[in-house]
Amino acid sequence: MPSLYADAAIAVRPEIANAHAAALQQIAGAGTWLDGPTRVAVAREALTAHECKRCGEARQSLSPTAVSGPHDDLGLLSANVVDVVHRVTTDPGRLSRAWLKGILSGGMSDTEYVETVGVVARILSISAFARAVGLAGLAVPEPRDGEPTRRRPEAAVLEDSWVARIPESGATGELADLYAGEPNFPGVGRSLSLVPDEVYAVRDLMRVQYYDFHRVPNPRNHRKLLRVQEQLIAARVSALLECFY
Amino acid sequence: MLLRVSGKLVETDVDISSIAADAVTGTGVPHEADLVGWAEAVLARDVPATERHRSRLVEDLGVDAANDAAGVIATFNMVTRMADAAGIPVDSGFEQFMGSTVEDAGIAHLRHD
Repeated sequence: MPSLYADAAIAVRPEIANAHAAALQQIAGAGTWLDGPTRVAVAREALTAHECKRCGEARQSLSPTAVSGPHDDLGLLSANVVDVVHRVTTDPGRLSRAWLKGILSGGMSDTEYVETVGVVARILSISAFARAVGLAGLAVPEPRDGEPTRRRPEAAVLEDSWVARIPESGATGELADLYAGEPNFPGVGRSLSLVPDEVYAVRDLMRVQYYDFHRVPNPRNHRKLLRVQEQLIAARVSALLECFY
Repeated sequence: MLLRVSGKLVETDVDISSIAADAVTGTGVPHEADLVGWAEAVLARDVPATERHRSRLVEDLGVDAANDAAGVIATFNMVTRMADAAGIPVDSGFEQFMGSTVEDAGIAHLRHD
């Protein structure tokens, strides 16, 4: 099978190409709470959300709530889910606890929300890489059949974030390797742990694109680029996406 | 933000005051213009600028380094959205560790509610 990046402008490391191809296939299958067709619809919606007129107007407004009306969407998902996908894609820095409460009271469960965010975050990550290396388009595979497992981890608790997470002390038993068995696993790595498979999937991308989560805080780790060069890119992307973290 | 700390390790005094400004300049990081320009172009979907910065980085630093840079762009397109959508707080002790960095970078207003 040819590499996902066979037509890219530069040679892409095989481990990155293979991890991205695997991630696309993983997105196309049933997850923990969403089936394959829904996950593929979420991914495809995320890839086109930047064309949404309402989102464009909202980005120019002082408050994202100043603009109303329907999103320009593919017609595959409910309005509530489309709003999540579009807001996480186009205006993530202005998400709020109040907005999330509205989403959850609109019929989306917290677990469905977390899985949707995970799919959006991963497809946008792969899409950004593809654009960076000059790949013209990124195709999401056709969905596969299968039933979501619908298993909510008992260890997940609402701490200090907007959604429940599994604390480090809760990663035991079959989830013992959730945080790689490492102390001080960064909070962002635990952010989607209400759906543990999303943590594993994000870790698979982190490992080939950047560092394992537990290696991130050590500024002495670096690859071909100096760490200060990597951090410059990281800081600028975070600033452009208005992320404090 | 590890930018300042990693700058110290390569004996570079990194100036982060422009990191959230309209244009990033004078950070002291080698190849600043193309590293930042490439990231900005990818986010803006500016294909000609993406090609221009990528070509210069490959020429100056090599294709492996360009893979690293593209990986960082991709990663922070992911983890920022995860953090913001989950409304997670900054890890305990991290702000203290950062000292004046938050104010210097002009990002204090980006904290979650």
